[in-house]
Amino acid sequence: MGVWEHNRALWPLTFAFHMGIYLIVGMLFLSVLNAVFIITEVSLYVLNVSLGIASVFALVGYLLGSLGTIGLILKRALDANLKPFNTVSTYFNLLFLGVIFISGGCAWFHSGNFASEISFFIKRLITFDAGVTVAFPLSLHIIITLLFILYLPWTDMIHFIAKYFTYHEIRWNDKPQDEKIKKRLRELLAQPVSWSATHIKADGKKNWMDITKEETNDEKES
Amino acid sequence: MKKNLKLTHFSKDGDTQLIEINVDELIPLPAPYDKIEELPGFKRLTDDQRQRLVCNLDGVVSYTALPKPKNKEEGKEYVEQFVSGLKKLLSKQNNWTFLQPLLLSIDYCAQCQTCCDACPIYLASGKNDLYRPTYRSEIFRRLVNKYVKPSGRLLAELNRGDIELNWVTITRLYELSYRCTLCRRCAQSCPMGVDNALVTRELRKLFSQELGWAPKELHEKGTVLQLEVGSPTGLKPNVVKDNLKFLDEEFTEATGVEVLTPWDKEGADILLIHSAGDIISFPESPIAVTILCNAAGFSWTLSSEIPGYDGVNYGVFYDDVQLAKVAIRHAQIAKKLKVKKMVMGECGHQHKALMTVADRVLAGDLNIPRENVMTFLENIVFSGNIKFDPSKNDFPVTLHDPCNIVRNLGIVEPQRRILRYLCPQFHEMLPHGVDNYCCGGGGGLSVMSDVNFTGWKVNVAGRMKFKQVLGAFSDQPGPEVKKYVCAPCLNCKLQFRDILEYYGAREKSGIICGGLAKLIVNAMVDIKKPFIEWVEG
Repeated sequence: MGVWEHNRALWPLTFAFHMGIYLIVGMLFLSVLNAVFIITEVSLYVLNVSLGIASVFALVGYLLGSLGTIGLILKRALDANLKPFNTVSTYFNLLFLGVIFISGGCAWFHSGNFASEISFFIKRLITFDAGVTVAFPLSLHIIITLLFILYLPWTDMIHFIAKYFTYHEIRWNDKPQDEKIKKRLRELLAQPVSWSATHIKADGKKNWMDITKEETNDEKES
Repeated sequence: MKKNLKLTHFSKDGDTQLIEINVDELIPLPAPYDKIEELPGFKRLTDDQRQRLVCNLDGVVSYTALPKPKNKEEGKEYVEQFVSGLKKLLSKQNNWTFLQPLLLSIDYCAQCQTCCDACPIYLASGKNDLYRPTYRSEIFRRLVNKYVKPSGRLLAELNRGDIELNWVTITRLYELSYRCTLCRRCAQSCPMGVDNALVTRELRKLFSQELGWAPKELHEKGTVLQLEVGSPTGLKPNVVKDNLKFLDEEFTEATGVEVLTPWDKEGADILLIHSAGDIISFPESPIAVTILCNAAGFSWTLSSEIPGYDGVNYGVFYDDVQLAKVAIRHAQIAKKLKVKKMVMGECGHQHKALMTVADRVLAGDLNIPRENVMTFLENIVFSGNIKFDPSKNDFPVTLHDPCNIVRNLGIVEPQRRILRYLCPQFHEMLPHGVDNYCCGGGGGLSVMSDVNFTGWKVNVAGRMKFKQVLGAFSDQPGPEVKKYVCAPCLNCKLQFRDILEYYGAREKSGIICGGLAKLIVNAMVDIKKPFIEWVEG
């Protein structure tokens, strides 16, 4: 909403980029589900519908993601509003994601039935089938994606996950004090303070309670 | 004006000013305020001031005591102190209060710049890069990443865009941390929840709590004076009581109703804490509340104990320890008086300090119930105990939303319910409510006036708000129609006073500014003479 309201020029690109990610994640969930369907031999009709949805998610996701990523790289490189804030990692992260989307798109077009191929691959993983093989474009895509997943926690892109745990909790939590908060507060107020400015009068031993409840006329000394 | 200012420029060029503010590059104001040559002008620093003071940011000085190092070693010491402060800011022991949102804001900014167009200062400045909410935060972020995080220096090198940390960087960062009103409009627009205002406030905190640098109006003449004598106004307990006694008598005579402010009534239901600045600068405000509380038949009291008669808490702008000291003293006084609740005065940051932040500071029996002024006044107006005649308020009224009451606490409707009921010509300015623009005096800026800082406040910080106010009254722009900007916050009123005076808006547009209680009392049937005199503002 914030980007839509305050940064409309960026919105189509960031929307395509993020929607691409959501669709690929959705496709992965469906592929795991399809693998379970294959193992449990559910009705072919259900499996085909689910494979069809996964295939559409994959194609649209890879296309949107590729367009969004390429657009964002160009926008970041050319827009005077964004350019001063770019670093090497800004481009590297976007390129990395772009390679994932594009390799995924190539794998989709190379494969006659992408959703089916990836679902069977997952089925073999789940059933510890040592004879797991996939075509080169898909195996390359999987390797790049796994490398990215390993890299992800070391980047600020982890905001994807962190946002859902932190956004409301940190910004808008105004829950009144309950016993749990009170206990936590007592522990925190007992933390020692070591700020150096003279008016704080901290020595690394006095805690927050000691410092903030000192006699007010001590202030004359600061 | 320097456009396309790079982040790396920030630590370069020693004493040289980074940008110059030119009024003709700011966003234009509507007539008759569009003629720059007819305005008082932006006060430039003299050669002598440039020699003596640190003025390496934008030609504005908010703190004359900012030190210039005598030699390289001294400059290095400041850098070491700053790095030490950075580490403390990122430690749980020294900063458990705001560590979590600070880390979120450091780690998860996607650099989309969406927040910039939400910032009234950046917009008013004509989109000057220096005033982007992200500019100061990104410098801070890169310094944190480099000096506090493991392998930070190596990653900073690899990433390029490394910010050199030297005395210039530090002093510019200090000044830049006072070019933000902490209104948090940027935070509200951020899709990630990054709070650049919090980053600004944490920077101020680092300077205050580690280096001892803080504007004198906020520290020596602010929290220190408040804890020592009772109020940043300098009002001592006996003086404040005398002042209000005098005002009680004066308004009893003027209004025809008995005005009697109760003091130190142990066991009263309500401890009301005004901002003492209101008593000096806008005395109708506290008197209006007295009239309303008495008419409503409340059991209430003021306190004459230090600092119980002044609800301001400038610590909220720059220093956690000072913030906690003042908040705890307020709660201790309420506890001593055995009141059932504390009610805030018409003061935005008092609400943030005592209702929001202090809720994670006041432990045990100090956690006394606290009510905001808006619902308090709403209950009085709609209690049915007081008769009103809305035709007495039949003039154009618009409402300024104090950020700390509206965006911070989400209290939007009570004040509007009152105004819709009592003011036939009430209309909103746009945008309003949680999307409001700050008056330009938030974050403590309204009380800061060192060197040429007031010029920056009225020309840049308050420009969007002034434009907005003019827009709200654009159907009747002339001075022949008297207009009222209702600003239920002392700091906002002080900023409006400066703005209206600078632009001559009372004479040119007939605009004055006052509080909410004053408007309410003006509509009371029992108050025979008009309570609003149309001279102040």
